Amino acid sequence: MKATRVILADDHTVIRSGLRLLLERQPGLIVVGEAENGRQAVDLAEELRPDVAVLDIAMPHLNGIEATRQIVSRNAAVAVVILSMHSDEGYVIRALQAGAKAYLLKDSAEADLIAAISAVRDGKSFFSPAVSRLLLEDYVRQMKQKGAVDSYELLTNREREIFQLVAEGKANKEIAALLNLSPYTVDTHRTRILQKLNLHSIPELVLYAVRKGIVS
Amino acid sequence: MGTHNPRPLLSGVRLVLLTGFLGLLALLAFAGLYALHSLKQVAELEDRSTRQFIGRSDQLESIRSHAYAATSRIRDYLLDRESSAPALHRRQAMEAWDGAMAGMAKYQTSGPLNQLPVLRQLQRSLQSYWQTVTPALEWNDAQRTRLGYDLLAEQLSPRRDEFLQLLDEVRRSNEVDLRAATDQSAELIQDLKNRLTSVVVVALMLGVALAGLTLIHFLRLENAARARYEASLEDRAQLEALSARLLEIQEEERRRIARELHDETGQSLSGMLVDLANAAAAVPPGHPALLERLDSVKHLAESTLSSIRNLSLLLRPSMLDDLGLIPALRWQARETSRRTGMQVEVVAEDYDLVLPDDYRTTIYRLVQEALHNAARHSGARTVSVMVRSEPDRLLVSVRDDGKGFVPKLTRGMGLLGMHERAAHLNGRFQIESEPGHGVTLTIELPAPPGQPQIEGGT
Repeated sequence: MKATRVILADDHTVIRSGLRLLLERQPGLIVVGEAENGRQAVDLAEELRPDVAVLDIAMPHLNGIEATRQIVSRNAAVAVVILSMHSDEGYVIRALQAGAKAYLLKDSAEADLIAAISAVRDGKSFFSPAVSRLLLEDYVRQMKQKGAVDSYELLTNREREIFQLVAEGKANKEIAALLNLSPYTVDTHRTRILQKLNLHSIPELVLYAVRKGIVS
Repeated sequence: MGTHNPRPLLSGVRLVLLTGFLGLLALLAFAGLYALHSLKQVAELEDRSTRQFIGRSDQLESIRSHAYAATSRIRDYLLDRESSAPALHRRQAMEAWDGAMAGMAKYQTSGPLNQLPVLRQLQRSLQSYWQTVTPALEWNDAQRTRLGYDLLAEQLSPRRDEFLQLLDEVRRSNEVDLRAATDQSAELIQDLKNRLTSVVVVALMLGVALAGLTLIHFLRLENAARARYEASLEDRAQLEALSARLLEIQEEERRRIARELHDETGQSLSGMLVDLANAAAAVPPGHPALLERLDSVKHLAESTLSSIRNLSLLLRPSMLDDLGLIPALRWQARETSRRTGMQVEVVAEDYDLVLPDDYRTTIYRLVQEALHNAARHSGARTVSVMVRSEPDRLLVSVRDDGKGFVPKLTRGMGLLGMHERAAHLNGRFQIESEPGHGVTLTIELPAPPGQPQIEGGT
């Protein structure tokens, strides 16, 4: 298998070199470039066309979220992994909206980074267990406090199937191929799922899935 | 503020005013009494002199008529040729003369001293008349016929005219006396008039002086009160500016420390964790103790990182600067929910609402305080935070379903501080509540100034 090419962007040299060391011990991973701010990261992604970009969320000049937006808009094939100090869903949702595939907490980066890179390499999402746990807890607490019916129960089996595939980051075409349906039908299902769950975008759907523990 | 000496009850100006007013009253009372007294005096004087005049006039008239009647009888006695008549005439003449003499004696005792000379003259004149008459009273008819007319014409008539003239003189003297008395009372009245005039003039002057003094004193008091009021307004404005500045400084300090903790300390610890992982991987096999040591250092760094992150968020959540108001409020809502068990929901139409820094901070802190209060005092099960942006204003409300309170009776420092915060942005802060019906706090801010800020940063 072809080696996965990674670029690293973090304004803290210690972290950058530490992560590099970590990744290079891993067979099949190559760190092809390092950037110390968002602007450099965007340029580097443009120039090197890596498979994965690992971006710190807090960087000078251009922050990680903006850098993600620019990198993904120029080259959708680059899977972005966000490194962040924040476990709050506000940041997670911003990162997902910008186009990031994985969201890692820095305090567990050394444990999760390898898994995250391999997940996004396979087109899946990835969240630090601490983040997933928090989102899940919030969801459960809200459900309990509101005493509301779990809207997930409203979905049909086919919809649940599609829901999970969408949450894992699959495109309509892929899902259609997998389930032997027309892309148009998949799109209709998607719209109905969002309506039933009262969600407005795919990132919200992904978060919802994480909260419910359907994807991690 | 200025010193507040307790003012003595009767200080300078007050004493002067009091004395002045009392003096004025005394003066007016004196003038009134004096006028009454003087008028009474004048009335008495006039009464007395009139009575006197009438009495004397009556007496004189009596003397005159008796004397005149006597002279008439004497004339009849001397001229009447009837045989029986002379005796009757004589008797009547003597009776009338006695009446005149008695009146004369009475008048002399009561008459005024200034009439003494003329009275003496009158007395002599009367005596002289009667002495002339007396011998004739013993005359027989022949004597009377022969001598009567001559006696009457040559001796008695001139004497009679003399005393009648003297009586007229006395009467005139009486009239002069009456006129003098009238003049005297007129003089008294004039005197009274003069004195009253001067009293009124003095009272007027005193009154004007008092009015002036009172006016000056009053104006001075008014000026002092206005100055004090203006000073208090100024003090208040300064105090407000100071408190705004303090809040600003506090917020800035929190932001700086939070960021420092998060970006510097936190990042260093993160770097340390990565390096620890690398170090652990580099340990050659067969050193379990060293690995264990590294693992415990890793746990320590993790828990330190976690506390630092919490501390930083408590000081000032980074979402407020990085993501905007609504994500920060949502975080706050989840935190409160997690800590207290209250269900807190944030309702906002615009998740990406862009607001200037002071708006974000103010609203965030107000909502934070409101949630804090709700958690502490209300016993609410759910709290709803609503943020709505309208073209000309920004509305924020925090509504709970707790036990509520009576807003008029509750004025804590917390609510006061919330008022102040809203006022710094020219906003309004309102509390609606009644026992048993929860609390609704409403913050209404003017629409933020135009240029939309680019949010984010990190």
